[in-house]
Amino acid sequence: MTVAKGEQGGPPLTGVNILDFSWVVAGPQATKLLGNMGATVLKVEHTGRPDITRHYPPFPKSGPGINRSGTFAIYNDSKLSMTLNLRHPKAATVMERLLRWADVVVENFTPGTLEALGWPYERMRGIRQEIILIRASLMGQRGPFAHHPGFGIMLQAYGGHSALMRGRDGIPMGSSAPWTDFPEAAFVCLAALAALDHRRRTGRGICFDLSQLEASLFLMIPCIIHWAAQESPWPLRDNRHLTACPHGAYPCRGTDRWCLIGVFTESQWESLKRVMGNPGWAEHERFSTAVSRKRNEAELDGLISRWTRGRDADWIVEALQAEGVPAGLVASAQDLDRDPQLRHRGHYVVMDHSETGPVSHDAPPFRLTGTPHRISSPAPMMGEHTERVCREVLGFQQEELSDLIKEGVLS
Amino acid sequence: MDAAMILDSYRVLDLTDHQGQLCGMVLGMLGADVVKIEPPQGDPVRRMGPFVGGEPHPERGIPWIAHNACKRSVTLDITTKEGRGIFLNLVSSAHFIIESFPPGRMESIGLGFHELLRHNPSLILVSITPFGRTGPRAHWASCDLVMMGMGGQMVYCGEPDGPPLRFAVDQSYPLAGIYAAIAALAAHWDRAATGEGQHVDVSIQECVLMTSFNMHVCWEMEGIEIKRQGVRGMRGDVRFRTIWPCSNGYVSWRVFFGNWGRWTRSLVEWMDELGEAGDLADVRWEELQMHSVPQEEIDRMEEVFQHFFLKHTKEELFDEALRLGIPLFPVQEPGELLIDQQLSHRGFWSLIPYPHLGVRLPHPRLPFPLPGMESPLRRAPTLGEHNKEIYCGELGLSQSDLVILREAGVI
Repeated sequence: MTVAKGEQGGPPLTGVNILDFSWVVAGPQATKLLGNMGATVLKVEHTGRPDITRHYPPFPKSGPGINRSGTFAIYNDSKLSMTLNLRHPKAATVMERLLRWADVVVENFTPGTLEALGWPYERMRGIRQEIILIRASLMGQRGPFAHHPGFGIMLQAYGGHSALMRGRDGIPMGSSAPWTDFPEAAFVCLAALAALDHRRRTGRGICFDLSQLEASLFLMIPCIIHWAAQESPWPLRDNRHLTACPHGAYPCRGTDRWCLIGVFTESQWESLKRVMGNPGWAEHERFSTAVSRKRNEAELDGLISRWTRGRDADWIVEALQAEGVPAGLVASAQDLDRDPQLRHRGHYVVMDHSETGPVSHDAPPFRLTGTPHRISSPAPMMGEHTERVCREVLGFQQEELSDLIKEGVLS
Repeated sequence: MDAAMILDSYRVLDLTDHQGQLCGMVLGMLGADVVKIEPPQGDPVRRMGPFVGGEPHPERGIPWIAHNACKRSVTLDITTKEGRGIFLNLVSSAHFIIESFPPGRMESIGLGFHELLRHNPSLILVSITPFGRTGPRAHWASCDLVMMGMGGQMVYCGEPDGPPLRFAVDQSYPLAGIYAAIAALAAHWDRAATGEGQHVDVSIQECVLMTSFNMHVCWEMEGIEIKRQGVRGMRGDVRFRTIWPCSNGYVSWRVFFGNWGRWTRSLVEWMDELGEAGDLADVRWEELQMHSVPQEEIDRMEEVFQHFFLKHTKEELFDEALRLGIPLFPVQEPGELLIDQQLSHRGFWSLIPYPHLGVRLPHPRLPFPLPGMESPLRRAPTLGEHNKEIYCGELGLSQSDLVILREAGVI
């Protein structure tokens, strides 16, 4: 009998080498995840154009610095860092050795940048026939808007996401986090794994042209189909649900504390009433059936808010969950940090760093029970591993290395 | 071996409900043979609205259609003795099983991971649950709203003086589906080397945490809790507007300084040509840094831009933005993406016939085209559409066996 792999298994991607030219959020989050799954990720930056998140807040109390951004830290753990000026005439000797080492190259420059740097996919394949290249960009490498610049914060407006979250007078808002970067990161990771399996079975490399806009639309398919079928916008706004009621965020005791409640069944409604102490209003026929509750939803929300307002959010959530009602917090960072479930799963892994101090790093959102992940190192200093990689991985002699440094190739 | 599609020849058994259904669809789009196993009365997702044509019907549910393309459907009651036997027969030749039952449910019907391994020693089982399979909250009740809040995303969403919001269509579940596919392929990569399968434990809460951006590290380094900003974004302490009303809708844009100040300058130069730049024409955008400009000054500049945008349509503004190469986008309804020039150029949507509904509905290809490996998208299957194909064609049951099993409520 074969048994499931024990805890002693190494991370699954051990031995896979990722040459990472990606920057900002989506690319680095994807390669971090590959690193957490055991791949060796070498992040390559040019000192003249470092990853812009290196200058992005927050910074430690000691002040900003190129190796001190908290945002950079959380998206770049478990990577090595080297500096290389690809525009330098002698960079090709380094790039050729990097390509012979790498299994997968990841980049998310503006379309055309790789070609402008002299490294189209065909040239890479000339060095290493089975190289995999994952190219991520805002809207794809080709097409009428391919060269239009932008960021996740704006693309969610273009991609229809913001229209699904509206404020006063119907103004679209969306998330103030770069929402569309996150599905892109996941698909970059998926594309790399799919390409690796393809190469394993066929011996062939592949170049994927991945669009952030298209990745983000995988979170929107029902709305698109609805539009096509019904010729009307998605019928929901705010926190409303098509059938569940009550369904929303309710204010609780304290400053800006909110609990979330979603009632999908009659028994959950009965449970909610019980936890609220069976108030008289809840017995009114305006709230006696799912249909009547939906019809009087605004009034119901007001009455529930009156109950939640003076109560502790954690208490409400615990009490409702004890009765089987879907309920949760609008979790703050502190809530996440002390979340007993996340602690049980070891979600945040604290790594010390000589410039930032300790930083919590996210574990992958899944546990591969036979081949556990690892957070192997905190985010690297700019160029921290340049010399080591050149000597130990790329096989440059000390003299060659000194020349490359002197001539500014490794900058 | 020459695989026509990336995951050609892999069999996936898909037992998921709304929480995990995108996983199987993505694997199917990569070429795997995905068999959705539905209870005889149909996947509960089939009862979720809205519906094509408006009328509730198990073949018309938009949430079902959206996330079940590229799958085959069989009906099977895996809790009955015969049903279990048929299921285990399918398990023996499957490569992956995906499920999203509450933790412990598979074990309680005698289909826990170790039991499944007895029938297929190299099986990969992917379990998708709201909080993970073990831990103090493993059995908490949940819904998309609760996941978005407990995963930290809702601190970014909503007006500062209104309630925290979610996007009005499920986002946590499709995101978890993509991450589950990543986990499945990572486990598969290990299996290719070791021959060993494993159990993968996906937490939807942790999948949403992948979108929580820098909120945790902002709190950790600076003690600052991120707060929702409505139509504004935040970088450190500085707030900047990201959504702007224009004459016929909204556009998304933000003021840039420093290296990207050229974008602001280009826009202002255009405004100046039209005599609408006011004193903004004299600002040296490239020489200023966002954190060194007082908030009141940014607010005042933004008033000038707002005044300008209100005089122009979103089409005019986007056309000019494309010409100038500045990151300004129209805010679109999801349906507008169906006629988007860039997506059309890249062939992102296909209109797939649903003959039984008398309509053609749009489905996306993967966000990275598969060069030379495109296979036609398959519409979402009807309930039990492939019973005969799989039970008779593959398992060797006879027509009369199917009649008996149907009568017994097994299929």
